[in-house]
Amino acid sequence: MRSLFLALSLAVILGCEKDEIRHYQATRLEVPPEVAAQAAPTPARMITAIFPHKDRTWFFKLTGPPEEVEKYKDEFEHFIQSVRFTKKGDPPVTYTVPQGWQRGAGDALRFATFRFGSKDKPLEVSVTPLGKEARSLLENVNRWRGQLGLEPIKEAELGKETREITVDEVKVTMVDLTGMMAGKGKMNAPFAKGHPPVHEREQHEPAAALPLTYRTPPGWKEQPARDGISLAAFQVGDGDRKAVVTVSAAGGSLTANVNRWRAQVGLEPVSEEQIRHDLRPMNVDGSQGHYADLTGPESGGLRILAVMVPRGDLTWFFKMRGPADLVGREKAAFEAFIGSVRFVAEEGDKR
Amino acid sequence: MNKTAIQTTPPLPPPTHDQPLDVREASTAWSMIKKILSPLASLRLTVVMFVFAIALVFLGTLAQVDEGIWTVLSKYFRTGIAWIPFQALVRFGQVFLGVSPHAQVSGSFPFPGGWLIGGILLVNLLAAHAVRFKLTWKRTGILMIHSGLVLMMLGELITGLFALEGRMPIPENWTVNFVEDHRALELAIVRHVDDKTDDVVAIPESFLRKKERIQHPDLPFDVEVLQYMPNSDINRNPPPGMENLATAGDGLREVAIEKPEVSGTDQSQMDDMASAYVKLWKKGTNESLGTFLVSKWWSVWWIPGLEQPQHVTVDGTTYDLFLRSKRAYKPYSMHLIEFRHDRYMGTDTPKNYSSQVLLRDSDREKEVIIYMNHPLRYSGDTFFQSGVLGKDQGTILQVVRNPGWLLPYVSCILVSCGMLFHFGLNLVNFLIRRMKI
Repeated sequence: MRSLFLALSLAVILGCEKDEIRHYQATRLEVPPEVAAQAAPTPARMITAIFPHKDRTWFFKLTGPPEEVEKYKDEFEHFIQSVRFTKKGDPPVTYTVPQGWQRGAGDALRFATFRFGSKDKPLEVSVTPLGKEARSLLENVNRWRGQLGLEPIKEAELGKETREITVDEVKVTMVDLTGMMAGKGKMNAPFAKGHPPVHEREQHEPAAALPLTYRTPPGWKEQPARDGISLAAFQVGDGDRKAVVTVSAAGGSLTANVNRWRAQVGLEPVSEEQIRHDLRPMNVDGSQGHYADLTGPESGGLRILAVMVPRGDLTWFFKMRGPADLVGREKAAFEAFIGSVRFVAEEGDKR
Repeated sequence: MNKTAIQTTPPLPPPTHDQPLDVREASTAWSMIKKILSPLASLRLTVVMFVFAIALVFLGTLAQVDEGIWTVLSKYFRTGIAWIPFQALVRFGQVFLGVSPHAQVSGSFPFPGGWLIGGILLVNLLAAHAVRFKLTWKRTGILMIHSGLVLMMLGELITGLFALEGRMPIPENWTVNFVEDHRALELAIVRHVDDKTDDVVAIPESFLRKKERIQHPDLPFDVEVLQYMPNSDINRNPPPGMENLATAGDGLREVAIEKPEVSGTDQSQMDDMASAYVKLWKKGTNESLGTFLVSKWWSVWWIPGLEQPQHVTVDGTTYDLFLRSKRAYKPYSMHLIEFRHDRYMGTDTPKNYSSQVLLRDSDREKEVIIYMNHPLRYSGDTFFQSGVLGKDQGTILQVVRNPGWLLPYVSCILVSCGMLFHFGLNLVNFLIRRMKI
């Protein structure tokens, strides 16, 4: 008996002693060379022109290896000087693209992308309109400094980092930064079970202004798009029963997408012919799209309504997913939502 | 337990002078011990402890509406005294009695915790045996059942005190030599000794929660915790009116915003992502080295480029600060050769997950395949196939080290055998009596 008491007390004492400051030496984690090389920071220079215009802020950003950026600096300044905001807003901005600049593949968040320079050390110019929340110069400068591995600065030091120029009577702020840009290792970030997805945080850019407008149907609750793919998301429903509406832009074939949704609701995959036969045509702001309506075989199962609209290099996806009866009830609202979508004209459309 | 035993055995005859262990012949010392043990062996005590245990399980379950399962486990069950917030009772009222959902009551009251109840029950059971112990073969079953129960209680005590459970995420082609306890945190201050070695001083989470100035001979500076958030988000845009405490490091660019802990009833069961604002002081002085934001969000080491240590330089030496899952380094390492995620043909339905790993210890290497229901047992640790990193880019192994892992099995066998013996004996006796009639 006494020995048991002793054992118990000892165990409790040992248990209490676990929480101590520990001091030890450990072998450092070895990152495989190929991963390290991919993730290794490389020297980079970033010149950005910030145009405030109405309720948006436009960013024209040149990024690349410092020596290449130096070569094309003047060309970029000429390009900036050619920027004009139109009164009609369609397209909202015009500029003269220097010779040799190639328009890059589409990106739902960017108004335009250009690539030029040598093949092994290419340069990129991006044109991105952001919302009002992107106005703070200090936040933007510190964000870019962060991307270049530089320490953040204080408001008082902003003068050293920026200069002002005038373009067509608009005061434009130019920011010129050089540092080490993080590699591409994190582009394909693996998530771990139980660990909140990290790509949420990787998108350090402030919320981009969507290149489309819409009217939110009554009862739909707009929420932050958290999956890293969607550009807008809504929640519809009552209590625990919810349907989710997402807006996204991506590539991928029609068949692959429809068959993926079929699998999600529990339907067998079908041939492209069959898919094309089942799809209904739908017009979205003058563009021809396809409308899929998929209901799972089980009673009380899932139903997906999806509209796909190809525009330029991208296909826009408007999707509602949820319990079959709830989606059925909201179908009219979903179609009204699709009817309200208006794409903001992009530069590429007018070519 | 005693109750069951006494009710299920035939009533014992009153003690007689002819019994082999006659109380009158016992030494005075033994009578004294018995005198002390008698109140401890009380059946009333057993019943009261059962009532407490039922109430504790109920309150602990209720607490998981707001708190995480592991927080509740340590605050209610793996503790001597549990401090139950009055709000838990308000919660009960809100769920069952229609109390206003906005009702808030502060404060808490003490209640016997799991270890105290379990400890008293254990002492009670052993004392009962010591006082009323009769070594007859007829009581073998009861003895087996009770020793099984004692083992089960000791097993839980050993698990609670010594078991370590963690995860080992390994991306393909990486070699990892530590296990992370995702339920415990540490503030690690790391100095690079050479290309391969780090010198680490790790401050446990309990120190951070106290929000005091932490001084220790091994720390290169004093650490004062200004704010500790058990769960948080990192945001570039602070909410209006929020004061940024950070004066150095990445905290100047991003702020941490406190979030409620992931509760035991939350279906997502995501990990909590803690953050803290820590002010560093030059050792033993009032000279500030700056206030830094440290966050678990910045300790994602398996994604190169995403790990974001905060650098502090003191007297020419640079230290990296990480708020990370508590690490337990192993004397061996695991290299992931290949992770396989087999699917049923023509579908996306998983058929099998398996990890082909190279286990490297100081003097040997061994290639093993870990897959579902086929864990690897090595050096007291058990590695289970537990999860996937990203899109099949690596594996997550669950690593369990529990010196008491066998006890529940032994205990169950003992209890089962004891019950079989005891009830079997009763049945046989009953049948014999019936035949005689």
